Amino acid sequence: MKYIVLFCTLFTFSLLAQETKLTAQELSAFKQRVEQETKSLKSIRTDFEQSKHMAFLSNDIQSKGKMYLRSDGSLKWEYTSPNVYSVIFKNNSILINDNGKKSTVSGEQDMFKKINHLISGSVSGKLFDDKEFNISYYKSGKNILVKLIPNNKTLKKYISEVNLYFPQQDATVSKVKLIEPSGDFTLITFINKELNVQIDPSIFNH
Amino acid sequence: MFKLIRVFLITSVFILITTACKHYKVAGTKIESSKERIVVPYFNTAGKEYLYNAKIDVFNNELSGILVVKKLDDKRKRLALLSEFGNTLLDFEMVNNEVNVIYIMEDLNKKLIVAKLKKYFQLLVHSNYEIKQTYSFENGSNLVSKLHGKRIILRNNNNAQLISLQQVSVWREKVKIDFYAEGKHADSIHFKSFEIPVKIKLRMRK
Repeated sequence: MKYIVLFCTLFTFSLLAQETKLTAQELSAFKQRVEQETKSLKSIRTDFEQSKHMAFLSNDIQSKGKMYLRSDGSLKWEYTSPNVYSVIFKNNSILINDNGKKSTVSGEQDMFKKINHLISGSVSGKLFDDKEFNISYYKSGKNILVKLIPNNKTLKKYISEVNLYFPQQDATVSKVKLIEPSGDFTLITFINKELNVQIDPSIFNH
Repeated sequence: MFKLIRVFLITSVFILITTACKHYKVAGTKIESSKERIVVPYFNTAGKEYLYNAKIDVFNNELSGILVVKKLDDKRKRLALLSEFGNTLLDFEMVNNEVNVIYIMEDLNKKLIVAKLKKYFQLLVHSNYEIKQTYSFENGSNLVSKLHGKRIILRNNNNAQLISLQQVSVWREKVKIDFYAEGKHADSIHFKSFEIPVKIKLRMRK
């Protein structure tokens, strides 16, 4: 009896974890849908939940906040819980507000540009034709999963893979998983996402 | 003339030795104590995951992040420092008295920096010290021990609560850690190095 239970459990897990590659037709339809959506995309405003998984911890480390993105590339990542902390990527600068304490970092550095490009590109779905990643597409449960493996040596040292999850009928990302070379990862889930809403420009002020 | 110069030089060296190079003196009156060991209660409950918000001031550059410590078993502890975004900056495993680097980001991976980080974080989480000498003073006691041949002074208040830990050389203080704690939980920890300009403030993450 216990072998039947074990078999059923393993079978269920294998079904849950199943990822099948998109057919050429499915891929073309998916890319077209995302391209159309991103062309008309002017802004995104969303809440997010961030969960850091480390193999040696029993509990993931949780944070929450809001994210604002504008088509001109301005991006604000605002943590509201448990810490108040925000980072604005704007005009090649990184503006940090650490619970009221403000500082600025020059965004000219190659690594910062890549991080900004990766975050805004992940959220808006503009990374698909990026030469810096080796990209593959899968169906995973109710999502389309896009796996990006960096080609860039510098980025590879920090991130071994980026997974973007698109709900099947949605053209924007609902989850981003950043996997580190150790296998530990950060999962960011977007909730209450609003597209093309008016974002007060002062949001991006330091 | 030469005699005068010789007298001047000898006097100068004598003054230098007796003033500038004054031995570091442990405060209090030396007493006999039957206590052979002290166990630091912080970061010392097996299985418990300790999460702290970290503000790090290195050479006048401020960083903020999350410090995670877990006592895996009687011999092993794991310590990781993460950025607010969740990416791992460093990940150390302490086994008995040794520190193994599981991961350290490339920008920090310089021999001298790694050696200092290993030493500082071991001082922060090391929990078992053999008492060599005990000094008593009005508000508590100073217990003198050694770690890797370096002199350690553990200061208890009158309630036998550990309030600070110093690493000192023959001449001067090298590192000081202040614990703001009750029982086994340190709500806040302030770390200061007198070797290089490094300050770390830790506040328990709610």
